[in-house]
Amino acid sequence: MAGSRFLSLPRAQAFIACLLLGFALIGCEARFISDYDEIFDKAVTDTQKKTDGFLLKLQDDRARERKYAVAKPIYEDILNDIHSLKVRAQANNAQSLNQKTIDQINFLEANFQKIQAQHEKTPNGPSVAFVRDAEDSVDIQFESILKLEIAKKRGSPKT
Amino acid sequence: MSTIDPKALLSQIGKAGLAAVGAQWPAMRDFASEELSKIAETALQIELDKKNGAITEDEAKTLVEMKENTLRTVWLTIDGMTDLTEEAAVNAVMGVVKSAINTATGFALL
Repeated sequence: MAGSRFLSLPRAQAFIACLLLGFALIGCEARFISDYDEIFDKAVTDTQKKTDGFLLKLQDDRARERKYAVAKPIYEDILNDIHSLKVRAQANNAQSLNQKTIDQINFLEANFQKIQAQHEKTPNGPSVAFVRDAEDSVDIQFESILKLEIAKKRGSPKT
Repeated sequence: MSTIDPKALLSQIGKAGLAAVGAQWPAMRDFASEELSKIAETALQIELDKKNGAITEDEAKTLVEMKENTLRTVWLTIDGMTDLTEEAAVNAVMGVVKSAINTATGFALL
């Protein structure tokens, strides 16, 4: 029963004709996610280094930063950097193609605020194990954000 | 002017689309596997630290809340990589179609 086949030759031709018309009308490459942003990539790396440096200090029992009063300006500085990342990602959000990255930064910000809130509750410093476990979480977040940004290079040489 | 062979074009479209998906898949699979394993390991660490008294109940609660945000961050990367895979497949198919049209018309129409 050739007439009942899903794509008989006339149907296949009609299907391809529709495809061709669609592509001719579009006339450009499909884009489902934003372009790679080198400045954002570098800023994420810098913020990750600063955050890791701070969280490592908090794991040292003798560090001054374990006092919340000493650490508070550092939290504010890092949260300011995270906010700058969000602004940069939003500037690259034409047609909402960078929304996933913006959402990632929001989750990172939320986690860093949770670390700060926990520290504020224990002015002489949260437990070292807490900071270590929190650092693991934040590290995975930074890695995920960078992985997606680098993937946006779309097959061009990785740096 | 040559004509387009629909059957050959469909075959080329299928191959181009599958090749594009195949090229992206290993990176996505490796990332998902590595990061989800890390999340599982760190979740286990929280449980151990709580049992050993290394963290308080309140700290454990905060860490679990953080873990949820971390999982969502990882998931967004997987979702974004899926977008890139779909994009590559669509563009590969479009490339085949454009090439077929240009060959059939004898000049760079598209």
